[in-house]
Amino acid sequence: MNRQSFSPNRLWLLLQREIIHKRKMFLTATAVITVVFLLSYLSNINEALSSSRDGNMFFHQTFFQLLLGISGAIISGKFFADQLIKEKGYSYLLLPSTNLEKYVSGVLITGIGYTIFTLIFYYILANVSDAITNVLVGRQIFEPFTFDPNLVWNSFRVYMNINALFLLGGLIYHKNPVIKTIAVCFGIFVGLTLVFGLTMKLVFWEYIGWEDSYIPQPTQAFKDRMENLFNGDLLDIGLLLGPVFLWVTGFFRLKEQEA
Amino acid sequence: MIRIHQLSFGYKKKQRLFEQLMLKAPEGNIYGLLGKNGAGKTTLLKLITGLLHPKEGSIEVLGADPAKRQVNFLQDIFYIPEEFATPSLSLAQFEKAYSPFYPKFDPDQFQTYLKEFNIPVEQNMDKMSFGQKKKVMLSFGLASNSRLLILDEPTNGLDIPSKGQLRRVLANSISPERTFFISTHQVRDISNLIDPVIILDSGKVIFHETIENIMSKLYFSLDSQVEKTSEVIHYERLPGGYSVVSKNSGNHMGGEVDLEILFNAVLANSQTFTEIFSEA
Repeated sequence: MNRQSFSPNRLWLLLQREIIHKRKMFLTATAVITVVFLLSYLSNINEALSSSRDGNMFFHQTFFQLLLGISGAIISGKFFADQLIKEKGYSYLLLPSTNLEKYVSGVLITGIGYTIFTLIFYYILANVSDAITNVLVGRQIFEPFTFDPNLVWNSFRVYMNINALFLLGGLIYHKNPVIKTIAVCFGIFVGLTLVFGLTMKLVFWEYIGWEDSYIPQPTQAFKDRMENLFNGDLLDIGLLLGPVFLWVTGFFRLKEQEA
Repeated sequence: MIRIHQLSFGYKKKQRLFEQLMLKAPEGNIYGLLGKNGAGKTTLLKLITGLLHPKEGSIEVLGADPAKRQVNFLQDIFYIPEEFATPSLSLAQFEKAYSPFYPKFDPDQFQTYLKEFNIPVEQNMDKMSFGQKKKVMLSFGLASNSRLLILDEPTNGLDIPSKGQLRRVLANSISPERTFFISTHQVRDISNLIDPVIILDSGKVIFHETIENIMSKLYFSLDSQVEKTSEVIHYERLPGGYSVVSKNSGNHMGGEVDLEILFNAVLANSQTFTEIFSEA
């Protein structure tokens, strides 16, 4: 790859530019994460103390994944959309760097960078909150949040799919990219479910039981087969190939972008 | 420099803004692109910069296809649109974030232009007036030393002294390697600056002549009466007389081109002008 197509120096300049431009957005995101975390944390502690149960023991693990997914979708969706809306698009598209560098900077900031940032920030937030709670209540309420490789890897690979999807969404919809991307995904999901359901009924009818229900029920054997298929390698491959496909599509979308 | 060959473009499939548009613009000049509202001046500039892609035909700018937006090409052009968004940065932050993208950027020149335009350098960009922002962008564009500087309605939002400063700065910055492409409908603001003059109408370039050529073929005068001879091409009533465009049969030397009446005359008599300027 020659320097005309990709230059690490220009990529570094783009990353610096993004950080300078988006510092307010990142500070706002950090403040919102903190507030949402504290509200959820306090409500879970309240539940745990009032019912003398330990509440959701895995609060941190569940909450971290939710937080990364939701806030990451917003950050990713807005990344290109904010730069391409109206007049901003002129300076971004004419900034002397390649489309590949611009796209990679988006993935690095909103994908990998944001995951690392959220992970470290959440780690500090969770451990400080737990330490304070421990002093006040006298016991550990939640399972502590650690850099558990399984949790990190699973959160990362799911988030990469969300990131790639919303980056593409931001390149297609410059106004309200997050809502529109969710709406389109919902529409596609409903459409595919209908097609899948009809295919099941028309082609694989022998595997579906109708007993005791108006709604067709798959037979146990069929359920087991599907579960094996989707819980195994196919899901892993899908989670790995999904972002690649969406990033490549997004890159070509950026290349064809007009203002 | 800029070569446009049989360009067709439209925002809607069946509604073409340009049809078979042709243009050749060698470097080293300050081109004035004139046209009525909606004639497609901004669209043409966007096509030249690569912000829009032609539907048919080809555009070559600085030896490259603008639609590909290659780095070498982007480093050598700077486009200041009529409306633009400025980041919420100080001038120092702005310079630090953007100047490394332009290898020929000269920080001293940037400071000189800012001083010339009386820009308060400590002020944050989003606190500046529209005119000040425009002057910052212009200073940056000139200091980038890009070979092609494209300005869309550069005098909009500028006060009267600033318009003079703009003319002075642009006139002093042009060189044989550089080209300025200025689109405007405020022709008086850029008179004595632009050469050649390009007029766009009905999706085509209907007039493209140097000032020297215009002066040799036409004569502009302010008369109290108009004698409707075959020499008179176009006239307009003004308070106290008439502004007249006549054929220059060689009797008149010097004088000034009145861009406003030239523009109106070309739009009203495009066929006559084609004939006059096609004569040897």
